[in-house]
Amino acid sequence: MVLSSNSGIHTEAAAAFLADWKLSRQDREVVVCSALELPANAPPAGVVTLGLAALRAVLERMDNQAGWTQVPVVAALIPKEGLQTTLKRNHANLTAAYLDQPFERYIDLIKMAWPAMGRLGLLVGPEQSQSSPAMFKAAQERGFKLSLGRVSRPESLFSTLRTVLSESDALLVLPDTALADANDLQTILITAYRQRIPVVAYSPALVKAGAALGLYASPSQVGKQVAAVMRATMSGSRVAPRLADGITVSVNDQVCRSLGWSLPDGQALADALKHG
Amino acid sequence: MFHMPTWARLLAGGLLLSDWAHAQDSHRVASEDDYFANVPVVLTASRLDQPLNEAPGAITVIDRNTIRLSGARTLVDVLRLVPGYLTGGLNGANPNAAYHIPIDDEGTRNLVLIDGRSVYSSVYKGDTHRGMMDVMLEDIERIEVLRGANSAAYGANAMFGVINIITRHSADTIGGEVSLTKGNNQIWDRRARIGVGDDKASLRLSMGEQRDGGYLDAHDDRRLSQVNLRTDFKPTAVDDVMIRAGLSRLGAQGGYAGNDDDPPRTVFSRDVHFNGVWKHQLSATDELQCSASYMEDWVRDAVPYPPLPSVLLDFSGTGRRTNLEVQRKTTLSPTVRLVAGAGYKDERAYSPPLYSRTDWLSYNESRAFGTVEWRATPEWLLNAGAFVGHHSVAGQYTAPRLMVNWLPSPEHTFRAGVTESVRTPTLAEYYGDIRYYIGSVLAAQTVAASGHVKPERLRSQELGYLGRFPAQSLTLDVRAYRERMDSVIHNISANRATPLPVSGYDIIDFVNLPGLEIRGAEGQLRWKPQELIELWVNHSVEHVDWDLPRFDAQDERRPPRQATTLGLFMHLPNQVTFTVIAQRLGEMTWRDNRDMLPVTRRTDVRVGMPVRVGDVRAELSYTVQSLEGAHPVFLVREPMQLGLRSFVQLKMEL
Repeated sequence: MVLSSNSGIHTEAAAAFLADWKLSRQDREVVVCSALELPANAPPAGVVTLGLAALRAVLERMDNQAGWTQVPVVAALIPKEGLQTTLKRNHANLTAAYLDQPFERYIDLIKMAWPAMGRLGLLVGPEQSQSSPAMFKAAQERGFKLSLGRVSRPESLFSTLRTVLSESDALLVLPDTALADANDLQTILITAYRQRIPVVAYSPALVKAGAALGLYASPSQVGKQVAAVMRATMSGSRVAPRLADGITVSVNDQVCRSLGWSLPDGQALADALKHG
Repeated sequence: MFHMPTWARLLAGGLLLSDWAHAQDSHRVASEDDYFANVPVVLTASRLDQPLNEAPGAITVIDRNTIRLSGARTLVDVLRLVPGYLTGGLNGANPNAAYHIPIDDEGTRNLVLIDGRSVYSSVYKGDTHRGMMDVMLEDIERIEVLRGANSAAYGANAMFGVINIITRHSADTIGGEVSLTKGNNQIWDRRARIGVGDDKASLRLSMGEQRDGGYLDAHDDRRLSQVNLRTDFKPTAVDDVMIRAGLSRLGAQGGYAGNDDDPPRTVFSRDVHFNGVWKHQLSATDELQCSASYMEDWVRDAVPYPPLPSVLLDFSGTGRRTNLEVQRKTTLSPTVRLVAGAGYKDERAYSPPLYSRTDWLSYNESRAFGTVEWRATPEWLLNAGAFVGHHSVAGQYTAPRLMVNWLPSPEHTFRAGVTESVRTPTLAEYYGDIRYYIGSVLAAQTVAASGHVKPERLRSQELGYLGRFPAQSLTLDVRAYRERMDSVIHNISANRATPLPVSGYDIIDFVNLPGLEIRGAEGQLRWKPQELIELWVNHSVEHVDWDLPRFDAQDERRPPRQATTLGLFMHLPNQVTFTVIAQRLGEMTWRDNRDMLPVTRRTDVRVGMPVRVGDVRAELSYTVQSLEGAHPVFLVREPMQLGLRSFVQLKMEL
């Protein structure tokens, strides 16, 4: 298991993996190391990478050291966009457990939190524009009219945001490098709040910063998902890359109360999503 | 999109924004940091508005969409949607609103704030009805009306309601807007707005003119012209600056044909105002706010006295007010929040005809205030505040407030509290001195203020309930109150000090008389039976007892025992909107029972639909006010009837 760093999220995911691995009585020994200290010895039976730096280190080793090419790799704690950008070629033995949540799950969450809402705004960068027909369909099936704002250039963020907010009851912000700048996120949160529109985001940090609601997989949930994927891989199954299984919902109570919303707590919303 | 010109960027502190300039790294690869790395807290505790159920009082919020749908042309018309508010006005050109009791004609006991700037006039009677016209409805983001008194937070004048008008952030009004309104009763309104900039620095300039013919048969045509500017900028990520400035000119007819003491004339007035607010986030839980405002109100109201044209009936003057304030909002612990501040204001007036002196009259006031909010348990919230003012004429005064909110669940809040409020006398009540000369001979004196007047006081006790019923899409806001007002300032006829050539005139002095008690309850229900339909029901019941039996006997300024307003807001297919606002007011008087207004009913209806003018988005609307036709308003002995008004408005977003 290769960790991008010894920061909290990587060690939390690793600990959850190890606990799950131990519980499932796997006989393989797990060696945990940092991306900077990848051992030079014989290739392992399988590799889990936690984070972008870890994936890069392992891909480099696969390119440069014979024997690593055939090692099954499970890339985790990484966004889909990050993995696709990093891969320079096709790796048949590589699979992934992305941090990204299925789009439909966000819509379900918003419907649960605000059943009466009918208009949803969504900001996407150039990378996500291709998937927009599916997004429109998913939103429509759940009773939402989707207003999609494509931010093609950083300078167009504010004008796109204004247009989207004027047609929305809630704003969904998805991970996108075109929108990930801290100043851009500040613009989004402040402008939406001024117009009393709740923002639904993809990370705990954004909920703390001012989004009303967040949906994401916690590092522990990622660890558990990766353990399951690795078990399947070790048993010879070919597992396709998949979106996050883990569901954690955070509610910014202060922001919601200030906007006049009283929402169920995050655990209740997460449970409802899991069972809904 | 409009781009901000260089001069505007400089004005808006654009040079300071270089720290904010950032180059997007187009080659950055998405990583786990996008999910889990810390992002600075943007919506800090001090940036968030207080939730309505935690506020230390009953607050009615009217947002801009409701203002638009209401079809209102004046702020006073919008206030009909707030429970407990009565609307009237000296005539059709001077609309006024009063909370609970129609205790004065000019809104002297209202506190009206536009972006934090108090708008009352310093010239003479401290009226707010003209200051309320310093903002165009289209520029308002929302109106928050604190139903009740709150001198503990706002100081003097926050006695019968605090009308807090928040204009739209200039970053939200980028682009242009033009609207034209034409109707009967000489209604002809024009307005244009332009907004430039972005989220870091922006500027809005709006200008417009409103004209109408006031009430039926009355000499009260109105012509209001104004220019308003607002700019907002963020010098750094933790600083927000707002500057607002404006100029309003009002030509308001007044007086009555055949009334020599109040002859027909046109009163010209002009307000110039400036307001600046700087907010600095010291931390996620600590905010410093500095504000400064300046207002000059100039009135030209002069007409020859018909029997003696050489004598001028003159009520002209100039008032100026400068106000400075520093305020800090901080969180002392997870359960204790503090708002504390200090301020200074200077009020002055120049009016030889109103004060019989040729120098500026003035007073000043320094003040300190603080409010502590303690969340004793998740269900109990205590809010205690006090205001201490030192008035250069009235001396020192205090205004305390204590409110307890019990929140047994997030949906239900019960509130109980007591508030003491104060109104310090106006310059007219201290120094008014109106004399008339024939040549150099004193012919008459109509006002001679002795200055022996002290502040009015109001003790308000209230019980409140705010309930949200999400399953039924319903909210209920109820307030029961007992308000005890003491030392009410009245004008009385004083003894003549010297015999005067022109007889038959009383000389007015201002004195404190025993007060009154108001008991009552009011409530508002908002129900959305369907996503696109909203129904509002306001109802109030109240009773006034004056301490002086003669005031009770003559129905002095008696509010209606019952008042009801219904509002229906519907969004129909094809984005058509339909609104009905119907009001029923019981018998009432703005003066006494010689002008007892009968039960009145007024229904306003508005239909709006989107249209396209070329590539421009526009809305066309048709509004009918007072559908029932003419009915008496304000006074019955004068020709004051509000007739049916209808107008068409075309509003284009450019």
